[in-house]
Amino acid sequence: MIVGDCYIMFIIFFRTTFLYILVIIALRIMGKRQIGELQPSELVVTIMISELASIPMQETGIPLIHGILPIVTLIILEIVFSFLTLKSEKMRQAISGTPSILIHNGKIEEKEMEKLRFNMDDLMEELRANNCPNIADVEFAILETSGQLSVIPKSQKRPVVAEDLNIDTKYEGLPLALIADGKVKTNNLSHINLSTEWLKTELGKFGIQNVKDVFFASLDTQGNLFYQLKNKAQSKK
Amino acid sequence: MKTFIIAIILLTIIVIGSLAYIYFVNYVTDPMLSELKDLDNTVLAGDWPKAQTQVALLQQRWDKKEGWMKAFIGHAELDQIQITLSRMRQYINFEDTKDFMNESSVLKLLLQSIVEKEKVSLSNLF
Repeated sequence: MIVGDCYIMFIIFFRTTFLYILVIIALRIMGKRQIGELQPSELVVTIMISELASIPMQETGIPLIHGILPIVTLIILEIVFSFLTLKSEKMRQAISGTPSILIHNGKIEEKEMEKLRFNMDDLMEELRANNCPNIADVEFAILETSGQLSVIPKSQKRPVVAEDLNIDTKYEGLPLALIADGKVKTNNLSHINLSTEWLKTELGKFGIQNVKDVFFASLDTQGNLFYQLKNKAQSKK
Repeated sequence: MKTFIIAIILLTIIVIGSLAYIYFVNYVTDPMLSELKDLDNTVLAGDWPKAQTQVALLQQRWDKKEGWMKAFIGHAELDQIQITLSRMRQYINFEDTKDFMNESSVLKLLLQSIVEKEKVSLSNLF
């Protein structure tokens, strides 16, 4: 009896592991969008996949294929539909919908709001969330297909940028991580034509003998090396 | 484009696999139904030793294919077939024609229902 129970536990363990890997693959194939930015169809597919995976996971009387097949079918449909939306604008409009303009040239589009069942409280809430509490400051407010509101303030109300003040700015690229968690990122080093030896020499100038003592190091486009030691290495010093 | 082609290939595999599976279910159940009919006739004729051999063969055939069937069909239905076969064996051992015929009818229904459930029909789709 005990042996029999162990078998069932092993079967559940195997099924859970298998379906977990399948769900991870499914979500990876679906793309890199965050949950909050999912299109309506993607959100539905994500919920369906999780539901489909959980049933055969716990119910050993249901063949695993009854869970795998619908998940694989959903992945296939998701790929096919995303390919069609990529190629055809009409398909894109039919599946993902189109953005709706709620404030147009500073004027609230009452009809559009009614059509979307979007009330004034919802609009004000979204404007506040977008750092635009005064509706008079808004030039455009667009409800995106993901359900998020994009707010474009009037030109007079936009924050001042360097160009407005005719100030020349230097190029600021992206700082490149050279060490993360004590491990040298050789790919990034070779990308900027530098070597591990160079990194060791540079760190040596700051009295760091072992690269493994560094928690994080990065190099910006001006050539400034930033580093932070691991807690253990700091206490040693 | 590469992912799209892979998706289409997978879709084709699923369609072909489904058709092959329907063929496999028929391949298992059709001979069993035919053997069951012969077994009914043997029992009705009162030839119990022959009936014992036939039911053993039926059980053997089922045991061979059940492993594969479990990968595709709900286990509760397959367990029910095993229970029915076991009962049939006992009714033959005790030479009980009436109860054997009842169980034989249940087994036929179970085998037919497996085939019916796998058919691509409007009633199954909706």
